[in-house]
Amino acid sequence: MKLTSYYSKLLVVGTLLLAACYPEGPEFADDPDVVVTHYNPEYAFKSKGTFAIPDKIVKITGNAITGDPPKYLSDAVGKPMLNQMVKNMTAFGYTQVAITAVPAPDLVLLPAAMETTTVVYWYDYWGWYYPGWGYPYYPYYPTYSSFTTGTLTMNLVDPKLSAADGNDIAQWTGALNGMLTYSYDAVRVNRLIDQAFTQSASYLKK
Amino acid sequence: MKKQLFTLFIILCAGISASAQSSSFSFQYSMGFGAGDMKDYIPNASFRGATLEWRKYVQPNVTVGIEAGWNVFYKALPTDSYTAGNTTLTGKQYRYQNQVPLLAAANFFLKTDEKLKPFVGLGIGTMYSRRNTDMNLYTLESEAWHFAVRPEVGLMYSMSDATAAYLGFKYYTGLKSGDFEKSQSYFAINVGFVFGTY
Repeated sequence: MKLTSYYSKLLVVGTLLLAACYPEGPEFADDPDVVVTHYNPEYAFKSKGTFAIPDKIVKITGNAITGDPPKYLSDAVGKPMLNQMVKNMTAFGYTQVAITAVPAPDLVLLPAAMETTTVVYWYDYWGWYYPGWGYPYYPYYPTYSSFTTGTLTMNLVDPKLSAADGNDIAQWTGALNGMLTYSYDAVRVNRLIDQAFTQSASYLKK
Repeated sequence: MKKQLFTLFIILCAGISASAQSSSFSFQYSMGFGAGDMKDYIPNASFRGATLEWRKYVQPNVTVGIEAGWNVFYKALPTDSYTAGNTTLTGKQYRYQNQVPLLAAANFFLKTDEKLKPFVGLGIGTMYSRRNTDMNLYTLESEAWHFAVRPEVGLMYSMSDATAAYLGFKYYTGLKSGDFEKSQSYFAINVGFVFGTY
């Protein structure tokens, strides 16, 4: 069995055409957005009345591990997020108090943000393969692309409860993850914050 | 898996060593329609697929040969929430299922002396399935090599001594295997051309 030149060309064209029409998947930056929530089913959220929240969102960068002072999201970005969290907690029937209030707040909502950049390399040689109908005469050359994802976590802790090591125990966690774009999209982030509360309403809403 | 490859090998050898004089290649565009478990996972039809066939005539009305194909099924699900225990995940889901049958096949032509040649066929071999459920930047992947059977009915229309148009209706079934707890089946409607001497 010997493939003629005609057949091999047809095969190459066919393969390229098929590769070109592979399903497209996510098209927009917000298509991969996800919201994950997790809660402690033993904890009686509805019996709690007050909550507190910091006035800044800490940025997890590893600085704390190396002993450097923590970094925070800028107020322009962080404040709208904090306001949206407060709006949702209030709508669920909780009353905001200062974090230093006496008596201590029943719950404290601790938000944190982090970024992860992923670099992807690939080898682009199809462009060279096509014109000559033969094996590439040019060396393969690598190209790369990168994307950055952002994660915002919201941890609801009870200041009266802590683990054996002294750390707070998250009774509820909401995490938002998506690809970051060049400009901050408050509508998109607020929608995801709202979603975290909406999908937790059955146990969180009073 | 070894058994399947061995069966495929034997049938292949039988086909290649047969004493007939002519052979043909076929290039086909393939449309797939999931059935059973595959349809439950992705109800959408696949309009992305292709099949290559090589056939050798061992009798004037019987061909044996090999077949390799590919169909990809795809569906994008709108934003939805999925709950498992105390955890809820919300997002868009992208589902893909790739099917690659590799078969030894035989066709029996009901008529040989007319331009329009109806035939029935049977293929036996293996089929690779890969299912990806993408959410966010992650994918859940299941894959398997199944033992596969593929009955077929079709028509060939001779356009010249060496070219014919092809229309085939195939039904692929890959038995339960690997990461798949159920068999994977789909219908395919293939259209294409046959090149060769026969």
